[in-house]
Amino acid sequence: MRSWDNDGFATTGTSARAVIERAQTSWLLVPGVVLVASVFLAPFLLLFAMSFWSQPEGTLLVDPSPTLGNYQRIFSDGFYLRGLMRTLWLSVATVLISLILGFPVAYWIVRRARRLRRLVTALMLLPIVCGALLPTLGLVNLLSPLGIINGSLRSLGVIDRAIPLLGTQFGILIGLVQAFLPLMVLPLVAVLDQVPRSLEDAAMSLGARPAQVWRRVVVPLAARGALAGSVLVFCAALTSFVTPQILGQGKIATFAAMTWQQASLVLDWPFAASLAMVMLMLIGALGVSVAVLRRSLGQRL
Amino acid sequence: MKLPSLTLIATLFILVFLTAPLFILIVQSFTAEAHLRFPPESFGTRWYGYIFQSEPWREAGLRSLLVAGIVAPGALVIGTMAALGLDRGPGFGRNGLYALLIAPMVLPHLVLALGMLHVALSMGLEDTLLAIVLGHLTIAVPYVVVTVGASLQSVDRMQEEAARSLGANDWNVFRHVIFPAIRPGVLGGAIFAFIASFDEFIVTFFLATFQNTLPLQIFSTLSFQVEPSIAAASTLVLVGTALLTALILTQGQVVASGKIVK
Repeated sequence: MRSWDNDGFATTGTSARAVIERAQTSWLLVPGVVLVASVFLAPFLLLFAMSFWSQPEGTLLVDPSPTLGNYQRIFSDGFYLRGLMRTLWLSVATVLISLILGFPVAYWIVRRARRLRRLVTALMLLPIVCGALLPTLGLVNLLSPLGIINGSLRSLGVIDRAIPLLGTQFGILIGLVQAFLPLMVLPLVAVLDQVPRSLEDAAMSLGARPAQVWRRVVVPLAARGALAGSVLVFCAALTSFVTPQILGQGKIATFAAMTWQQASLVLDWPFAASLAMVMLMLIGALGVSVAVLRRSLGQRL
Repeated sequence: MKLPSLTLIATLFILVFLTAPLFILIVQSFTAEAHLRFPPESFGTRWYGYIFQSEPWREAGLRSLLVAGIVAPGALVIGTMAALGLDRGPGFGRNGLYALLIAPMVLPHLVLALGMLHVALSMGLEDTLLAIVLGHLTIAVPYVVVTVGASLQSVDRMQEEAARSLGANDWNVFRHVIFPAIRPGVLGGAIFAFIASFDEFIVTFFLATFQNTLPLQIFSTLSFQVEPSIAAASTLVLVGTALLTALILTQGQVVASGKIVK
């Protein structure tokens, strides 16, 4: 994103007339700001405040005296703690698999795709643009006991009983990687595009083998893209609802599903709000550590 | 050279992995059987006929089109105004306002949806078209702010000054100088806004109970039975999304070639 600070408009002058003209165009912002402030910001701040409220068991009345009870419950109740750990491990595993799969694809798109580049990029974009629901639906057909994977394994005689894939964490993991892998590939492509080809050729001509070129040249130079992609994939996986819900067949509770249950079924809004806030805090903590990592990377490069 | 062959194989494998499930959905939507099976033994357009006749599917489809049809132009106007205001307005607080305006695009939709449902419940707006439209609008506006904001960077300020010195008022400057220059961004933003609304799941899922949109109808049908109607509806959504995405990509091409011609 380009910065809005130095967009060249300062050159039109800072005379009093210019200042007044600029102030006069501010009204253009009113509809957008009113919409976002009332539909997003106000509810969001309310959720934040509400996460410190409580709702005595068995009632629907909210007690707005501040307490950390909801947060204590999340981190002490085994059910929620396990759900949190399960969601975290699924997200981290999704990031790692996306990294491993994303690198060769990004490299191929940048260095070898040539005329196919636009088409391959469009195919990559499709699962992201159309949302997680449709690719996940397709996966159901692949993974179900009578689906294509089990069917072909059975007809090949590899297995005689269907491997359970739907309703397992492994199935969810496949779905998460499938839904969010493009979020890893696209930043990697953007970074690799900036790396001059001559660096690899130089390494090759100095006697580096392909594996060494990868480890010593391509991967370190693409680290920034990998970092950006990892953040995107992690956030998407951590908060995804549809994919774990469909592929887990309701048997595996992730954090997002728990949040929805508390709000829509249990109607414990303060607790639902605190679950959502824990998710945001995890994302925030990740953002801070990535900023630190990026700084140290910047010093090394 | 081992490197290219390895990356090519990996890419092919991953492209198949990413697109095969979508491809399977499309093939299955043309089944003539009563159940989903792959590959189907007989083909036909029976299930397309079914979703166009079945009341819940038709209602959901029309509702999706209606919502996206309101949201896309709405987001276009609001987002373009906001992008212009950010660009031309005073520098004071600009970064903060920009962050606020694009926050709905960056933050997890689950958290947005939770907040929206709470407010909708307290105002008695849950399960209304108004709540769904407002929710989608909030998610769609950032796309327009970003795309229009980016294309505003390429507007020639000298032409604007020239138009003004020749007596054009604000509206005429916008209409005849700024708008032609940012049209690709505006169009791209509108298409993104339409897709964002049409394919939105989680916000609608929280806000709606009976007001199903197409993605919700697909999801709720799935929880009862796996019926080929799901594949047919998904294929329609997929084809629509793909066409609109292609429109953005080729529009980018037109813009690029237009610049060369100039």
